[in-house]
Amino acid sequence: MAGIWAWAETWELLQEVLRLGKSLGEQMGASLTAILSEQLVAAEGCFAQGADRVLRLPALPPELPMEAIVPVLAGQAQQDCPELVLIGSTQRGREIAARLAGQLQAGMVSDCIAVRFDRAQGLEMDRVMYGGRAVQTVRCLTRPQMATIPARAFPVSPPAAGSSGEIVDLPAPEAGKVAVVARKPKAAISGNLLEARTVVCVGRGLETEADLALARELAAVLGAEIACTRPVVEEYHWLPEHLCIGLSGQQVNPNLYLGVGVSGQVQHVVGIKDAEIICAINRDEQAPIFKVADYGVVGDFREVLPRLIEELKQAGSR
Amino acid sequence: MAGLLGSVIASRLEYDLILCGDGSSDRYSQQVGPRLAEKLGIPVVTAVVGLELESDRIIAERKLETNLEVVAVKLPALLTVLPDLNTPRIPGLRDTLDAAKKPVVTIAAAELPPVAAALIETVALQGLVLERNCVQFGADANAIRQLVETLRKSGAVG
Repeated sequence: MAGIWAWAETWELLQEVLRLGKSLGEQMGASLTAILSEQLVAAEGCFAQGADRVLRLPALPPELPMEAIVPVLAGQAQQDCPELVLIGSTQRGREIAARLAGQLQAGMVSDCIAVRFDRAQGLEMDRVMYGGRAVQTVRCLTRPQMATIPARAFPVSPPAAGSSGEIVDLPAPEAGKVAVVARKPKAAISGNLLEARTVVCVGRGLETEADLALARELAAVLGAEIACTRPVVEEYHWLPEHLCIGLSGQQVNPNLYLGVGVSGQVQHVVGIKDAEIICAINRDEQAPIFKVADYGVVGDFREVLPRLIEELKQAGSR
Repeated sequence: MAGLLGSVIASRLEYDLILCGDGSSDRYSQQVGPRLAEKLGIPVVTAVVGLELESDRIIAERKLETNLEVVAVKLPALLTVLPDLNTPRIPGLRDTLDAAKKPVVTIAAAELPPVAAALIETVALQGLVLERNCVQFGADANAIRQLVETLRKSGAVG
């Protein structure tokens, strides 16, 4: 029976990749193998997410980067001949997938956001290209078919209890030519944009930090997380990078996204396409954000925001 | 692309360090760098935001999702770098004049090694469409009241 492999750097993402693998496995008649880095979770966690088998990698010594697992995976893939290899798309995941694809001389679809299986056509995978302007549909012509899977692109279903399967221990990776000499924390990450039900996002239309304070006041009234577009991080330096929404930042799916002074460049819009409701305030009625917004307010946010804050407070107290 | 670059580099060039961007601006598949390194059989460090040369090795800082990782890699090696690495300066007149004197080697298509068979095929390419209501409100107090009412009815605000 053809097999599907799933690997991801974090348990959260591995669950998503496993669920996708499980649903494809049912359609393709393929078994599901979890490649599990031992320190993430007990193997039973993978069985509960639908895995039939777990290939377990030992925890790595601190000087080995995670990428050192590539030769181990390549060796095992040559024995196993999986039909499909799905890898969670993180920085490490993308490197590991590309190198594994290189070693296996296999085609690989980066950041697959949708996949369809058809008995005659096989797998068709969608990915975003041209900075978010287009969706490219791709088929792999080689085996294994490979793809990296971004976080939150596919749903996670609740785990099934009591499943079990085979556990195989993989050999420990050998030291490669890259050695880790230090790990440093990034700037503290506050709030939780990815889980937020409401997001207030500020764009380049803001001119002063007092404007930002006004947007924060709106966020406080709405119980929203604050976020921003890339220029606010790179040109204004007002907010940290992890609050940046877009193709090269976070992709969010709140109930309500409220853009303040956001023009709606496509690179940003890709990051909000899954929002339930998009609302935008911009003084330029030609701003592209209005074409992708459910509700638009054409006006100066310095006038609109105080009115909106007042109205929301009243609505809240009614 | 990685296969072609690999053949040209391996057959014509001596190198200690290969620098690649993190991805092309059209497809942004982020595969060429790591695949090229595999093809050449040299180590790769991706997502580099800082680097220092230390005799025959590079100390590189990688930006990962949750932390920064500092690695040492012996040359020859390939690095893929993120835009955070530096801010390119604007070239001056002197630089522009000097640049014109630098050698440019053109490799004709006929001189290239045969291109390997494609590994993937694009079967469709479509513009991204977002279907939204596109209802517009004015900016006066009345219109804002209507907006809040609409948001409230849709369940977006409490």
